[in-house]
Amino acid sequence: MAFTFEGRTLSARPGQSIASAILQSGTPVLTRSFKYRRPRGYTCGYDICGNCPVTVDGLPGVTSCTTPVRGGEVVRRERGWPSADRDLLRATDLMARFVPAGFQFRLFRSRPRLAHLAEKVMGRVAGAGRFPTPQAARAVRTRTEVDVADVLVAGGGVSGCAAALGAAGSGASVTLVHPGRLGGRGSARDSIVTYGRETAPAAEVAGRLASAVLAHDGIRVVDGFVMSYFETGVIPVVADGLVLECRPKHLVVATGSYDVPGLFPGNDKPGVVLADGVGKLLRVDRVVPWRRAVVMTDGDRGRALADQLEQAGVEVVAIVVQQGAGASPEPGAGPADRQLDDERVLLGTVRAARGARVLRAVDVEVDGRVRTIRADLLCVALAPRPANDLALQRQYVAAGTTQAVGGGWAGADLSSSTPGLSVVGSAAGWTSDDPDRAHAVGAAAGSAQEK
Amino acid sequence: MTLPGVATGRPRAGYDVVVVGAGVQGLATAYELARSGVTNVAVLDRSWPGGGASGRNGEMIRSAFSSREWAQLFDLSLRRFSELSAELDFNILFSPSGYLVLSTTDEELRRQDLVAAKQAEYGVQSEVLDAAEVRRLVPHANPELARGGIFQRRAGFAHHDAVVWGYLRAAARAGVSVFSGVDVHAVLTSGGRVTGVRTDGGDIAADVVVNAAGAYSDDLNLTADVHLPLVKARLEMIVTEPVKPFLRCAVATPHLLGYCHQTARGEFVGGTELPGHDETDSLNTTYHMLRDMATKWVRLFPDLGGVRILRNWAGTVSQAPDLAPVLGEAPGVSGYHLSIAWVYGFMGAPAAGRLLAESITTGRVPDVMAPFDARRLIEGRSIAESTLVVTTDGRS
Repeated sequence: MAFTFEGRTLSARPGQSIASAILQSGTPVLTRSFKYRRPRGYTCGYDICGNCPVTVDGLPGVTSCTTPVRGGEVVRRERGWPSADRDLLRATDLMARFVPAGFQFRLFRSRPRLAHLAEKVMGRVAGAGRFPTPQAARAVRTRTEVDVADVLVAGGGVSGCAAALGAAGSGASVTLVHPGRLGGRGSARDSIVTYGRETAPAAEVAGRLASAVLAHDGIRVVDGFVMSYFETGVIPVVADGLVLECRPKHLVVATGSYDVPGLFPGNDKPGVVLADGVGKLLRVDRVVPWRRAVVMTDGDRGRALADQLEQAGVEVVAIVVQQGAGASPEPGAGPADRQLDDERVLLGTVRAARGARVLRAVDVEVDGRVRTIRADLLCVALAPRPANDLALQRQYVAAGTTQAVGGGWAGADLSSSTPGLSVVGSAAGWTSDDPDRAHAVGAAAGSAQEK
Repeated sequence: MTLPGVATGRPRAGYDVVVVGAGVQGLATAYELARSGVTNVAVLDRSWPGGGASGRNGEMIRSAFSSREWAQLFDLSLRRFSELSAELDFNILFSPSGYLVLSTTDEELRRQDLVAAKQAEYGVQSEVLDAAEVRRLVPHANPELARGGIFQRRAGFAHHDAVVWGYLRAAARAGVSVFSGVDVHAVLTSGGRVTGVRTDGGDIAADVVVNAAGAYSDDLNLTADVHLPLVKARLEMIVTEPVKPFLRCAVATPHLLGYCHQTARGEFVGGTELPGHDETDSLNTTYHMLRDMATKWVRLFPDLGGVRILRNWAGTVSQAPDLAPVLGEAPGVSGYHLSIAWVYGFMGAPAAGRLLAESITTGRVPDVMAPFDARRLIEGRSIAESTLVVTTDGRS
């Protein structure tokens, strides 16, 4: 398959994402940040970070990391003047000291005319915002349909698929919503998972569950995403050309987890990529745009990723096991990453990502000394955060106010106390895939709907 | 968590003035009190400053109304907005880009000359536009809906959070104590005089109490045995992803029951309403309003088709049958002052704060403020304003 990227013809395999094809062609900068015009590239792989919007056939803001190449489309980057690669307005970033966050509230406060002029200039200069072309706008028009399924499962990863099968198996009608191909982050994982009597790598189990879901008559699979949970219980689902208005009797939240970024200067540079984004590029898109990698971890996921990278031909020069807040100080004990027999392991702290436009090197502090390690990939593999937004939102809606919401819900078991709601998998904070447990939760939800 | 301008620690046992509500009304009033020398003032809010309707409105500002009362009150506010950045030492991003009230129906077109003539009589300068002039001003608008309009050139919009922050900072600097997380349960009275407030942390004495509690102002009134015909209502808005500047001025469309503008950052911000009012104090947004807003705004600006909605929100107000604010001392309770029933509250706050502070410190009610006295509601008089983008439900 081929598509046009800024005048060039790029090729891609079926199912490969637009971002991965652009990366493969040797273009690491996908966009520029809104205000300081910092270069941004492929980061999360799952439509979370906002670092990869491109214009596809006149429709701006298309997430290139999750949108597969269809063939024949015209793709261009959106920000940067004259181009996203070389943006003269990057000067804003170099003068960042003079335009700190909130500078506009200090600017020209006694000079109304200048303030009004500055407002007009900022609107022009700000790095975003083309209208879709009329054809593109027509192409995203939607019709509305009412979905009458008993159980709505949000998320089609290992847990979501298992829960959907559980619910459908107990006789309930099920709609499962998932953006893109079923399988989720499990499709790019090596960890060993038990499902029923079988034990296999997560990627294999994900594939098998996806096939079972697609073959099941009682499950409607929708390629799309859940917009929101609204009062009166309506849950709109946005799909291609369609808005489904769902009013399920039971909602299963299986929306997985978020990779969290590392906190260090330069953490937004193209070449700094979150762990699942690395896994997806290697396993799903099968693109290897890097040569030398540093892996940053807080304990559990670093070595597995390093092994994946080396299998793909990337030299892993260091696995930095983060020291300090939140990290266990004793080497040699506990999680795999801290094993000192691996000569790649450094007990230290990532201090900075370096490189004028894209990542060239990583500063790592070990025993009070900073060393600079040359690399074109810094893989950030920190403990993920549950993507439990939809479940939280349901609680907020039930409360009807922001007043009632304390700090308690973030870590709480959101499903135990709420009728009509279950949360499964990493969205519920489960630390490893447990499809049997998700299946049981789905079955319980499904059998509760029997008339 | 500490917020800049918000006091740490607990309120003292007494103040000269206690203001209930750290929204834009309460903070503007406290700031103006401090400016005229009354600095022993506490502002109490159960949540964060600006957490209610002050941060959930359309940010739009005009004084081109059809009634003398509204035009004069809001013209003072408009003048205050243009000087606030310098005075508060904080750029509130006031944008005098103009405010256009669109005419769509034949009836609206017929009336616009009459309305503009009245505005001229009140000293508010506005221009009557025909279809071609409207087209030049808002070229992206659907000409079937934008057939004419009344344009007020020096009106516009400001950043609503910045206005709250500006007042908060300036009030705190002048000596006002603003407390977050203090829930006022009741207004205390004795022999027809206010004596203080009861909070979740105990009683606080004050000879003057100002009710600026937004959607909850009627609940507070009832504790002081003040009965006004107010109802709660929910209003909703959407914000789109940024698009390059296409809409310079603020636009209201009575025909679609909508109001909108584009921020300096490029986001399109718009709200619409449906006939009747949504009587609740819930801050949830609703799916049917989201659909209503998306549909109407794409009708008015077809180029917005395909542009994504970034977020939406709901805010609540407490409103009177004539939709005009209630300003001044409460009937029957001396020392208890009201700045409530605001539907255009962000727009009116700079004027209301100044006028109410003046009436508290001098004991004289300024002429501009007098028509908004609460007694009009008890005696069944209403202020007739015909250019509002809200619907009355006929219960008045």
